[in-house]
Amino acid sequence: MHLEALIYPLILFGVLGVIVPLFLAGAADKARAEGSAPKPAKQEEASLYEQLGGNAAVNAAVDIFYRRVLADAYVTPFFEGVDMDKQAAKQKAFLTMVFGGPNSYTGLDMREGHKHLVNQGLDESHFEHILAHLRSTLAELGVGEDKISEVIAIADSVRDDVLDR
Amino acid sequence: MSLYEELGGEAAINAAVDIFYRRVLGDAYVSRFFEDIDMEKQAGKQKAFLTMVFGGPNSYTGLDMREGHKHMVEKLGLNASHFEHILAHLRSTLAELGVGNDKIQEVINIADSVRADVLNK
Repeated sequence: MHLEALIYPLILFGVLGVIVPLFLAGAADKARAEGSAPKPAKQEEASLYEQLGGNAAVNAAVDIFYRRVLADAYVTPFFEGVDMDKQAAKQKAFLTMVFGGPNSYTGLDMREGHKHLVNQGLDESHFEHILAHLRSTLAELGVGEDKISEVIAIADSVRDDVLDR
Repeated sequence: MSLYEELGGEAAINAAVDIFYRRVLGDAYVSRFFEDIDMEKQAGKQKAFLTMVFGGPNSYTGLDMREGHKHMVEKLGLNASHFEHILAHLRSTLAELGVGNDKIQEVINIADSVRADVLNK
């Protein structure tokens, strides 16, 4: 009687001592399995270019950007006598570059392409106008200010080339 | 002759206010700061601001400018990039009115002097 009263609890503890850890380990495995296996591997974050909408977004942006720039009497003198078809292609290449898309931008092209304009008085203030038109264009397309800042940081990286410094 | 007179005095200001205002409100990067604003009061303020930057008779105080923009800095994220847009619209407005680059630069220097007040620096 006394012996049984002592043994049963011991057996019970012994059994629980084996089962509970097994159960917890199984639950942990199950949790791990649910946490990883059923879900697809985390996707790589889309590039800035993709986030902004890729080629379609660049085309939309070129139109708005171009309209804004050509409606700005402070910078239009620099577009006088310019072949506008060629210019549109350059604007597209520029916007693709600042969107972080596939581009063949070279600082040397940018420097050579603007050198004569620097001689005509192109300076910091005109560059600021172009950055402003880019911000306005992106805002008009509904791009958030954080993304706009990313784009502007890329555009700003060509400042020294454009101003031939 | 003062800069204000050289630029054309009050008539020039009135012409400039119209163009400037249209440009600012047509700029999606800054137009959000003008939402819910009493536009008639705002037109009066724009005129006072342009009179000041034209070097005309004005009662501009940096304190007004600071107090008037503080909530935009604190709650709406007004920063140097937005200020650059306003300077750009001012340059564009003056260029559209046929003002030469040297005079534009003088005006911009005056406008730029309020930067710290506007941005509550």
